[in-house]
Amino acid sequence: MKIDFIKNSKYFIILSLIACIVSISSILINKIDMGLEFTGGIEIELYVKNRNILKKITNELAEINDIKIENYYNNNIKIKIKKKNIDKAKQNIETILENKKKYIELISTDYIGSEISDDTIKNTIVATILAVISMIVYLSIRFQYKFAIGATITLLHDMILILGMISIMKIEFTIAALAAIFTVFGYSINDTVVIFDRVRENIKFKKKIDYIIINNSINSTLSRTLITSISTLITIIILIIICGKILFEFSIILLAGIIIGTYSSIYISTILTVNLSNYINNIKFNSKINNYFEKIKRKVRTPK
Amino acid sequence: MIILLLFLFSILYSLPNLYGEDPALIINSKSNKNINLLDNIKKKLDFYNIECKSIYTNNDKVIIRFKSTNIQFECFNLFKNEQNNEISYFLNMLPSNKLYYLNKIGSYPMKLGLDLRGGIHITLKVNIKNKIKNELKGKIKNLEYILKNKNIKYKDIRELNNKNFEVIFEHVKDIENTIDILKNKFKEINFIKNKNFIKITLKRVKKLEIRNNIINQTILILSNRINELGISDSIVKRVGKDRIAIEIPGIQDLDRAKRILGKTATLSFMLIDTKHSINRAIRGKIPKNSKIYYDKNNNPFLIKKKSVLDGDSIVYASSGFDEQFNKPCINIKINTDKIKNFEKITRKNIGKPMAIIYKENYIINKKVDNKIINKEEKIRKIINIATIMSSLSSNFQITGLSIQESKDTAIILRSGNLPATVSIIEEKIVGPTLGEKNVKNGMYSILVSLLLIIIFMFYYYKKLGLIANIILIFNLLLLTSLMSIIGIVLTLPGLAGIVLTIGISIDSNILIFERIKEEKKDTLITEYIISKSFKNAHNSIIDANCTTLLIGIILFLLGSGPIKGFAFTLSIGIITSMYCSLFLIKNVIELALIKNIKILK
Repeated sequence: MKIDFIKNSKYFIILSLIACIVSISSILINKIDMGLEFTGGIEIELYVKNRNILKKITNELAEINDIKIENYYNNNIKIKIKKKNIDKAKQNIETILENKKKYIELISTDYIGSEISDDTIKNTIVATILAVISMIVYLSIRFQYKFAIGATITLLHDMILILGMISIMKIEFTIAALAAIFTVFGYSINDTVVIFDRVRENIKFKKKIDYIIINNSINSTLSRTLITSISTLITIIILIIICGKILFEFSIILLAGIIIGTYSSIYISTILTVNLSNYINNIKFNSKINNYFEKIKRKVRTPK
Repeated sequence: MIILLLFLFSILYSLPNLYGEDPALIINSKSNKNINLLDNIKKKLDFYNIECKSIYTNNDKVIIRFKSTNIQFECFNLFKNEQNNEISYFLNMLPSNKLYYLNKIGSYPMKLGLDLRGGIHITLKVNIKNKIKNELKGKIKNLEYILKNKNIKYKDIRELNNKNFEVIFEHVKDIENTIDILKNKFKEINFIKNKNFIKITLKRVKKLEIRNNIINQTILILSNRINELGISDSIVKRVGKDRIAIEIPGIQDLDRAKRILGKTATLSFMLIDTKHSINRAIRGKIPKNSKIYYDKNNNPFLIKKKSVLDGDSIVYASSGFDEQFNKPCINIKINTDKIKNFEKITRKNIGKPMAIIYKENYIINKKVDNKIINKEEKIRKIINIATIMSSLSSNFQITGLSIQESKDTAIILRSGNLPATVSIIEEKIVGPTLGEKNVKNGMYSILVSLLLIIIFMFYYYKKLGLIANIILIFNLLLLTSLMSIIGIVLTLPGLAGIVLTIGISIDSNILIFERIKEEKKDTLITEYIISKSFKNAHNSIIDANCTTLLIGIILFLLGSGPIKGFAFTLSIGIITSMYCSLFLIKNVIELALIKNIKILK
């Protein structure tokens, strides 16, 4: 069974463009809810058995500036302040909790000072740049540079879509979310590389990259792509079901990322590469452009 | 043959992980007295009605294993409250007894991270800037003396932007000579000429030396303090230029740990200035060599600046109760060198009052001009005033602090004072119940996803699927054994990394199997199909895995804590899966072919 992927390519490009625009606008309007490790601040999760004391604590804490208190089921509360300089607030919280120490069971605490959060942001940016550069270099070495560019644009497309999803679903962008994004990064390139590898193999016969080769390549790798995606999806879904809340940001980004990554590997990267390759080939042989350059040269040499 | 060995090897080194660890208490008798420690402790356990899994001796130590961490803490607290200074207690997680033989070959269970075990992680920043400034200040004093000696006329020495100093001159021609003279005397300082003044800074090498010394000393002192809390498997290590990361697993009294770790506290003995009036001093006329200190009730006292005895002369301190009034006290023993001086001064001042002053330095973050800076604040309080009855010698007691304060101060005095102040810039606490829940969930996810994938593979690829499953299990065994051997700490994201590895490693096998399916259409010769599929799939496998590996390595280098764990498990998982699907699978398939198992039907 052969599916013609390239025939409907136009629609998919338009779909991707719309998705990108929606994502970018959501990111600009809704902003992304950055996690504690990036903003600095404090996050404490407590369990208080006695409902009255729970209410008392909540009321006392509510008076602190910028504090957010989330009430879960089962007498759990989560106290959050996401700001850089919270020394005073931290002391206030500690004083309030110290008095009722006997009734409180501490589940977890996270305090990130401003220095550490600045460092984290810096490291994140460096890691992202490094990752993108290493991808481009690796792909350029193993494949032609056209593949590298096509794959990189595909990656950017994936990132925009995922960040858009994070922004729309109001998922907190923690460091776990960042790790998930990087994993999706690697996974998406993984998929793209497999398809490109097949293309590379098929090119050995014909020297040009064209639509027929792409179609054949995608079709022959389709079953592999599907099964790998299914097996990885199984593992992620298990993670979501069993580990639930704790790894939520991580798992759901992986889930969406794998789906988006597979889709983009099949459609976006291939189409981009073919178009890029045609465009570059056209430039080389396009006499119109050469003539244009000649005209300009002549105009510059002869004075008016 | 090699495969079998590898298989056995990985099973041996993964096995300990199945057995888990026991919370344990290790009891040591410090003195050489021949007390039958084991019997004593057994009696105590009966008395307090504490249930234990087992109790035995090992190399003069008594080891008690408990069923849960709660009982472990309970027992620890009860024993500690008995105030027996001859016996030391240590909390620890010990690997199961049954692993004795495995332990002999170096096979231990994986170390669990904080989010799986519960505990506290603190990052401290050491305030070195002040120390460097003080060092420079000291040298400047010498400088002034030398300049005066050589009759060099300068206008002023003043401090530049909180870090450096500069000497301002009247005449420019003096500068060159001065610089030469100074350079010879002060080899650790940079002198830079700038118009009519010389800028003075410490040489970089010297700054580095100071920094390294302070950090190393701080790490030593902090390790000692943590030992005092009874935790034996904690980590204190340097991170970057001026930070120290401390990880204390399984601790219960978190507030106390934080208090003890961050404190720079000391005691000073100072004489009270009886010659001048305290009332006049309050109104502004403070005599030259004295200072005002306040006691607990905010009463002011005039104290002579030059101290009689300082904290660093204290060799040993322990907390207890004094014999007369049963008040909490600190027993102090002084350095033998300082005893003579102390005796002399106290003898001269018999009948006069002496104040014992508690000094503590700490750092708070203050917002100054929209920037957040660390400011050092001091507490100075008089905890007691004693009249000198006779010349004091090397051992004595101090009262005036509460029980908890006495205990904590004793620990701080014992372990030594931190050479520079520290501030907590990051703090993560995971309670023990959350830790245990995380472990359980992590384990379940791995097992369930493994099972589902195995079923899926078997259903879709039939006999080949069986081979894939064998490879997958082998892969995981290799992964766990490598992690146990290398000693990387396992965190919850690390477990997620293992789950992910299950999914990704299957990918390589799938690549091969799909190729096999394709080649089947062309020929029927099994060997040919297999060898051609392998050859073609190799490139894809290498490329695809290398790209994910690159990501894993970048994450590992730039991430911290749990992310590092995730990146590590992912990277190792990819490497083992590459080995398994490039080399191992060949061996397994060859084995199947030799035994004439028709794998392609």
